Amino acid sequence: MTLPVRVAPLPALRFSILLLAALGCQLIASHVARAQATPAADAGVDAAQLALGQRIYREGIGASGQPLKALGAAQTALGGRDVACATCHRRSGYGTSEGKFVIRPIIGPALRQEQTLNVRTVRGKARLGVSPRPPYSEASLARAIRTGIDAAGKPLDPAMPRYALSDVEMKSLAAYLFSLSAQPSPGVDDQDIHFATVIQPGVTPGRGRAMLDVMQAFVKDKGGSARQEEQRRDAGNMRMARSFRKWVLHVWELSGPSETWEAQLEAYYSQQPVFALIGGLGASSWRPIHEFSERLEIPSVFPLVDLPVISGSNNYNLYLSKGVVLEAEVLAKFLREQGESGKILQVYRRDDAGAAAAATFRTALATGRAPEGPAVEDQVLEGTSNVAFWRKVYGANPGALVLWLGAGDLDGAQAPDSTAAPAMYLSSNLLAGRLPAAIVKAGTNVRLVYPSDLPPKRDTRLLRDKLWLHNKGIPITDETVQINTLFTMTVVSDVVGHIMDSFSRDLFVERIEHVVGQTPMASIYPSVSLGPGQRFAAKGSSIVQVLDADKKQLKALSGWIVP
Amino acid sequence: MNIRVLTSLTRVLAVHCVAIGALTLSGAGLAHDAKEHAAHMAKGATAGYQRSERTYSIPDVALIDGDGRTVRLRELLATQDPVMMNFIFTTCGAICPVMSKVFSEVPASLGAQAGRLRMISISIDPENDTPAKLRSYAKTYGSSARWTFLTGRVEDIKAIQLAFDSYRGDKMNHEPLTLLRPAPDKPWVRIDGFASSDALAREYRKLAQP
Repeated sequence: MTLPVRVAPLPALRFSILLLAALGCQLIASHVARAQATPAADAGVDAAQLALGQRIYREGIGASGQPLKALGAAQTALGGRDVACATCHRRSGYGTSEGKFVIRPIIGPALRQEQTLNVRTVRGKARLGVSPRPPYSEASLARAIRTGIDAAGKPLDPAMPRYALSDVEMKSLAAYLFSLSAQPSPGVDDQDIHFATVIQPGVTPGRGRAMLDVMQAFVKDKGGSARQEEQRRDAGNMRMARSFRKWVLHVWELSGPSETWEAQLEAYYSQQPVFALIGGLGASSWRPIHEFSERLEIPSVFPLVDLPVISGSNNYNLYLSKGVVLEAEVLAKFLREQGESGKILQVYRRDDAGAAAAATFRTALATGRAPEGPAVEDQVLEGTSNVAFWRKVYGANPGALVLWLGAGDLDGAQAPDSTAAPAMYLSSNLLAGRLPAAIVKAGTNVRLVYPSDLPPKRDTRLLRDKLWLHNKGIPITDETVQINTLFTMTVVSDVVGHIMDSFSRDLFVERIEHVVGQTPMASIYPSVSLGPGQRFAAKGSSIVQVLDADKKQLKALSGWIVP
Repeated sequence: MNIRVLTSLTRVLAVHCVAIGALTLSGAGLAHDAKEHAAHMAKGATAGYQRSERTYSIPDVALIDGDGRTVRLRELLATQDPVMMNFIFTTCGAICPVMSKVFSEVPASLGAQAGRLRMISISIDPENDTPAKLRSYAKTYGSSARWTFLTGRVEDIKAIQLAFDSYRGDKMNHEPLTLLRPAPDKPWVRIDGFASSDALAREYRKLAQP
């Protein structure tokens, strides 16, 4: 089996003070940019073979359907997903690093290329962490995977497991590896990298503007510096294999019923493929966009949505949090820990977000609660929010009221009689930055499930974002949207820098997983992080009491609750 | 990646041969290469570990175990039983699966001597590693009553890592580390690097015979 892979020789590299990781990335980057591989299917490799190779690679499942066996570091017998290639080398094949362990790229072009070093000094070689070797053939690759001896006859790092693979499995895996990440993902050309942001119908113009102003100011900056970076490409004492593509941002506005969105997205995409979806605003279920992303393998980075898709396989959709589902879990945990024993009444509309919040809350509250304790009662709001409805709500005499409603519905609410005002819990997600004056007033006891921290800590944490907004002449109109959008843009920018010219969408996602916890620009959440396969960056929330709606004065009732 | 190898060469070789022999091979390719593999290992291309003795001051923090129960670390570590501890997170790809597999095999390597050993794995990704996730992770490595998985608040987990000199800023920057202690009044034996379950068992036996 041969694969027509054309690989240009590595350009001369000169090294100065340089981190190992950065150097590794650069090598990978130049490999890929110069490799033009034809898809393996053209070269006599059949689809079934590639499928088996992919299953071995991603899941660690062999030809028999049984988990693979391998011998790992410290002579440990491992099996299944622990030894799936993708667990360490990742779905992209570009590898990763954990502490001082650098997991080498095993993408097709890297395997096919001779690994030579123009580095002569011992110190340079130590930094690089790779040893010269000839290109891998199918036979030398099999030897490496089975026995841990590389193409130059030298042992691989002991952390690389040795696999017991049959000949059929070996052939399939080799075919898959030689084709892995062999071509750059769509949405990038020599000049530009394309991104799109999706806006659902029903999003208020103010929210849309808040997001787009930040994005467009950010992209304009990127464009300005890309021009200068271009001139510096070969400057300095190393080749800066950076991407230096001009960012092009497309706004994909959806309209009409959700069943038609997929076709609209496809129409936009066929007009101009994009490398990734960034940000985005939702007013209802995000599922159609999520599924589009998943099907076309387009990363979607941190859309601002009330209800993301939470279950099912998810390789490409990254969210800031689980939205109202997280809020419901946090509130249930808070009330459980408070020993809330009175009747809890939850009010919601039967839309996607309302129904999901109510169902999650009911289940989460039941966990660990004594069965004879008071049950959660539901009151569904249908039609308009009027006096009669709220009289019914307060008439039920709840100990606590949980209102999974937007500010519009709460504007129509009556304040409860102040002598018997129950604690009222509201969703920050559904309020979307607005406190409804009808119930937030003297004598009421309004509490929020709140995704952020409180002043003065919050002010200093968000200072950098606010200075950026100020310097761009953007007034703060919707703090959550603006700050989270700036955070998202910063993450994307960092990661585009990290991947250099290895334009692999899988690598892009993997780098986001890696860097998001260290992003210098703050999000609204005091704590965000991801890891391999993690899809929700903020994992907690807190409960605050509204002391003064006008001054937005809040009092913490809890610490950071992670359900 | 070369770290200082304190394990003697002959010992390493012996362990490798035993382990290779023990691995059930389903494919044809591996068996006849075992000799070649061992020969290469003999040239020193193995992951060793570094052993040192340290004294640590244990922070007084409350953690949560896989069943959601609150556990005060100082109280847990006040046990007279020998303790073996490591740091892991459930979505970790390269380091933790090996560390956890090794822990799961230590009792078998120790045989009858395993009796009073307590094993503790502390998550360094506490917001993601909820008790439920720790429970299911423990299950994949054959959970036992003597092996406790712990999570907690971010700041407490950080304090623990700082106290045991294992904090590396970000979870993805962590390193393989095992801590062994025969009794509360004894120093910790710190094992940096990948140690096999047999190697840990050997270190454990050394503790038992002062």
